[in-house]
Amino acid sequence: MSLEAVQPMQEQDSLSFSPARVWVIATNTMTEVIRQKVLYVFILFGLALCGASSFFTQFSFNEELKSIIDTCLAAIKLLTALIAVVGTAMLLPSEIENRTIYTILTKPVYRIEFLLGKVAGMSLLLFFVTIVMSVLFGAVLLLDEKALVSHALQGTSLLQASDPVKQTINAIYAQTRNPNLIKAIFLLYAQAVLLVSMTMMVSTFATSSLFSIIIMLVIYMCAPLATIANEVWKSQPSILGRVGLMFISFCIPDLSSMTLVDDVVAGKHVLMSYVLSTTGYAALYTLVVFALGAFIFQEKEL
Amino acid sequence: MWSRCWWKVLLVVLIFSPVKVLWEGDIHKLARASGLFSAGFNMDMRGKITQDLAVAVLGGFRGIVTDFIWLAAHSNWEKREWFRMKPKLDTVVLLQPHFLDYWDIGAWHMAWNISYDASVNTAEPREAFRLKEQRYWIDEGEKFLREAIANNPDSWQLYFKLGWLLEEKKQDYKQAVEYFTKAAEFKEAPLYVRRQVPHALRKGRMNKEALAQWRKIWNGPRDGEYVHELWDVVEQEMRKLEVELKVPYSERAFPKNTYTNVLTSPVPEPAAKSKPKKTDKK
Repeated sequence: MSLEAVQPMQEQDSLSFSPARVWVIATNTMTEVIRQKVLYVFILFGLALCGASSFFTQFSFNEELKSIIDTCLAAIKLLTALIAVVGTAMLLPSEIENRTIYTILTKPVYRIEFLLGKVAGMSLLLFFVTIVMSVLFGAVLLLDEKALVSHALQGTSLLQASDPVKQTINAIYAQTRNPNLIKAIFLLYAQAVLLVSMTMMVSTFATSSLFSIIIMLVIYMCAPLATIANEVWKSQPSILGRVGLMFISFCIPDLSSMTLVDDVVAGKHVLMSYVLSTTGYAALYTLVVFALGAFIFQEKEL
Repeated sequence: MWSRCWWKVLLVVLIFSPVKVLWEGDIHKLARASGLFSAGFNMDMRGKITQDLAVAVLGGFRGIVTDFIWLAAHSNWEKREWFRMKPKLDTVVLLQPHFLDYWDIGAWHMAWNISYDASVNTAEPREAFRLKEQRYWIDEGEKFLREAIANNPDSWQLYFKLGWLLEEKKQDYKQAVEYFTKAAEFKEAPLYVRRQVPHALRKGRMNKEALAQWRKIWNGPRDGEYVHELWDVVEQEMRKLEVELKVPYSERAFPKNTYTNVLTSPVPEPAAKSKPKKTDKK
């Protein structure tokens, strides 16, 4: 880590919170994760998934485009979630194992700054991964759009095309140039950042990265059931069952509200107010979970 | 570690929990208002898919799982394995109930393709059984579309498809008209949907109502998208019905015309007044 940003602060009597130090830790974290080979395996897996969309070319254009959108959005969701969980879970244990954490924390750096830097670094990395995957997704979609439109036109120009052909082309454009796709990808990114914060919180008290990964994968898999748990909780007659479901409902974030893949594929319109509300929820959850992690990390004996 | 910070953690959890629950309720309300994520994970789903697939669905691969089950159903269709195909179609629409093509194509397979195959099945020599089988698949197709409408009440396509099935396969014109009318009420429905209403009325021998519908279309707007209405078809149908119903000339939309061959060809323009023939006076 570059020490230029850290050194001058030693001369001050009372150390204030410094975004510059957080930024240094964040950029270093990003570099550190980029060097992990596991990241490339995930990215290759994501690219392979995007390429698998050619399975459905024998069907109607609607089904073909649906399969591409399904596959690419699932790839973005899974890839960002895996990087968020696995990448973050390995950060603190590797710092402790390599003893680099001691050299950092003996310098005038608050533990909260260290933790925030780690979360910010992972979020930044996920941002770039999401952008790369989205560009790839857009390219696959545009290529398919071009092929489908030229197939629909069958050599004629758009001006000469009959009304049914124009309708088909409009239907293709409605699927491929759907602004709701961007909203869905944005919410997937918000979900990934939330997972980063949660994994960081878990890894502040976990004894190994494997423990954090398993816990987080369980939470990730249970998240779609949170809505059911919430509904059952309200109608549960037994107190024990009620408390148990209440606990699940409180502990597991509502990740399904950030996954709009099915709705976008079905052509539903995603309201901006919905995106803002869900983003606010994700941001608050991220903040709260980060605060919990900071409290635990503050008291952790290293 | 915990002994020193447990109270802080507990305090944050206690403050945040009600906020979380309330905010989630708000998000769900907003989602319901805009028809989002109504296809959650439910127990019916678990009964129809294997554990591996359930894990894939929970892991965010619902769309891909659905696509592959759809592929498998298509493969069954190609092999004419109808009774293997049907449960797969049910699973597909259970997983993604808002993708209309699944409902539409599934119902079309049942009511048109499979029912026809059943009616000409050479393996079954008894005609009564063939007809029974044919009727069974038409009914299945109808049930499938009714379920589709229950899941997607805001799409005109499904009302139109059900109307089409009732008209073509069951000759239930009264109900067909009902569904075509519902489809035509949607703003985004194309023009041919509203023309289908009088067509079905005529097929059901409700000629007066059919003429009233054609008149409604004829007297309606002609600008914007209505420019593309097949006005010649509308005119032709109105002429036919006015003749058939013996509408008094004064009430007809086209009173000046002659009425010969009107049922088979478009009526020609009124003939120009013929000039008196010149006679050669010698």
